[in-house]
Amino acid sequence: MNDTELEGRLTAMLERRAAEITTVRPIRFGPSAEVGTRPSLAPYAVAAAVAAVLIAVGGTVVGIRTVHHDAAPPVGKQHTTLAPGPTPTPTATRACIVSMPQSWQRAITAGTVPLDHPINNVISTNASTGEYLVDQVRPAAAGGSAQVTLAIFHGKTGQDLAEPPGEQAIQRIADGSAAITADWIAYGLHDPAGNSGYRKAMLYNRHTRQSIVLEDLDSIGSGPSGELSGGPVLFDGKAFWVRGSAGGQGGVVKSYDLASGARNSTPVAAAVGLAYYGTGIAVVTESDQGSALVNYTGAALAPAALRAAAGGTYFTYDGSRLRWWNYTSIPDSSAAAPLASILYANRPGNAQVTQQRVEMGSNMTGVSTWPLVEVATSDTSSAIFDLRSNTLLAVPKGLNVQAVIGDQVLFGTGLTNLGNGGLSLVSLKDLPPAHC
Amino acid sequence: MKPQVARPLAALEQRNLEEGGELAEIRLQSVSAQTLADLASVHGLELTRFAYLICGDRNRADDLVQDVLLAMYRRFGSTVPVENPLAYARRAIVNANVSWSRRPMRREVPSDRLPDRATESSTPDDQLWQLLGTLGQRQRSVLVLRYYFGYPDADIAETLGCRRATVRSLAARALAELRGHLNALDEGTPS
Repeated sequence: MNDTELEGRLTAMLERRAAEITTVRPIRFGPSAEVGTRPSLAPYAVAAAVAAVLIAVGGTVVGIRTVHHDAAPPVGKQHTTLAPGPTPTPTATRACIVSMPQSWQRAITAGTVPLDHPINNVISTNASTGEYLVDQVRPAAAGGSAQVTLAIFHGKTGQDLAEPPGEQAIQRIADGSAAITADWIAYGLHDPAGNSGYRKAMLYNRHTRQSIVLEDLDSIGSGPSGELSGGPVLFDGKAFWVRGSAGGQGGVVKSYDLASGARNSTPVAAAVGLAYYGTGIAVVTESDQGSALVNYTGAALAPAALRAAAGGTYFTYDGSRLRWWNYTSIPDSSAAAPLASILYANRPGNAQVTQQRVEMGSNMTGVSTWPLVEVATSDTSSAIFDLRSNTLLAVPKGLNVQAVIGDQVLFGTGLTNLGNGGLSLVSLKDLPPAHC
Repeated sequence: MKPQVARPLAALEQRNLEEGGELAEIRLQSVSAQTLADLASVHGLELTRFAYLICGDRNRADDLVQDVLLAMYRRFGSTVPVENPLAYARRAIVNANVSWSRRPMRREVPSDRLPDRATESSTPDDQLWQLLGTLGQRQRSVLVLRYYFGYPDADIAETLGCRRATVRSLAARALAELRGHLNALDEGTPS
């Protein structure tokens, strides 16, 4: 076959394939546009719909909340302990749904965090200090540009970071649990139409209020030939981040010594992100066989944890346990619910891995929200799964869980297509487990 | 709104236009939208088709377009202050697709079914479509922009944010890979 024949076939084939698309998903713009739901999941009512925060990279929060096509929601829940070895398949049961207790509503109202931006997304937390990083946005008025601010909060008080002017990024990227230390804040800048989407990794000195550019794809002219992947991780006196190759086969874990400024690069095949777990960092790899965790630096994860993490997604660390999601088929399920969302947990240094199947659970923020899981957002209502009592709570529309920091829960109080609105900080003890 | 001058149509688009083809009509409109509402309503179909061709999955195409338009709304508000919002959106979709492909958490559904493979029993169309999925994201995007949109290399380079030489290189390698696979299939041997 010569080039002309191939080009002709290609053109004709592309025309035919494009013609298969005859409809467009409706998109509603504006802060008042609530997150929608998929019509195909309507029978699931409150618990239908899908995941919330979605653009995440290996436990890294990247962007705005919206509705994506996901796996069909699984049914039921079961809590088991996974011994090293093959993963048992949970069986299906139904969960009940209850309304959010009045005491929760009162606590959420009382916990309102004063904010100066209409959109506020929590992108990283520090479980030991209680600090959290918020990507704040004032959407653009007609003809203008959005105002984007990164702020560090403790309790209900926040302080803007003094970022370099002129950045066009509209989203900040950060590792969900390893972006904040007493001295540094590590984050990335994302511009959807820049040369490389996520193009710049930054390090912010909290004392001098000066920034250091860890990597800038634009400045070296590499543009689309590579992409940063995942928010930078602060660990053991260094900042670590991943740069992937355009083809996806290569991958480099880079580091910056916070004291000396020394830089280092280590090739790791198919690296796409980092998973921080307090005492070390594992590299998330992605290949035709799926995703996997590979020990990288610090105390190694147990072989049982690495085996259980195969195929895992959305690795999060809450200061005590590394958690991740996996999806598995339910052999005896009906066609309407062929998958289960399994939440795995491992205490680093321990070989035991627990798993819990969560009713339609799909909290994908990259920020730990244990023991609450946001599971559904629809045109009329939202839902949160309380893993303490295995109960699904129907909550007011737009209410969501942004993060759990130690014994404090950060609720988002107004989820729209553009992101979360307000925040409320509530003690977990003021949120008694609800039961059916 | 000040009308913009449409880019010179490539031969393919011109042919469609002369035949009253829907695609050419859509493409002709493509440089005039300035508001996001316009972009979504007038060019939503085109953007979704573009996303579908470069990612190969209908649901993901919807997600990519939604992500990009909402990100543009968040950044610009209802009016898009760039010269060519459609080109901006296309470029953002390409970037979003690359980012998506690199995310370990993308919601792939485990299945007992083996993925479709290009086989002798497939139609030639199916074979080529499946082989397209074996290419790198940038290679695939170049082929879509060149052979579906009929873009010259300079416009492809602008859309992808790279040099013309890179476009030529990506296209040449992609075509060589496709040709190699197809020849191997024709000869009945796996490539």
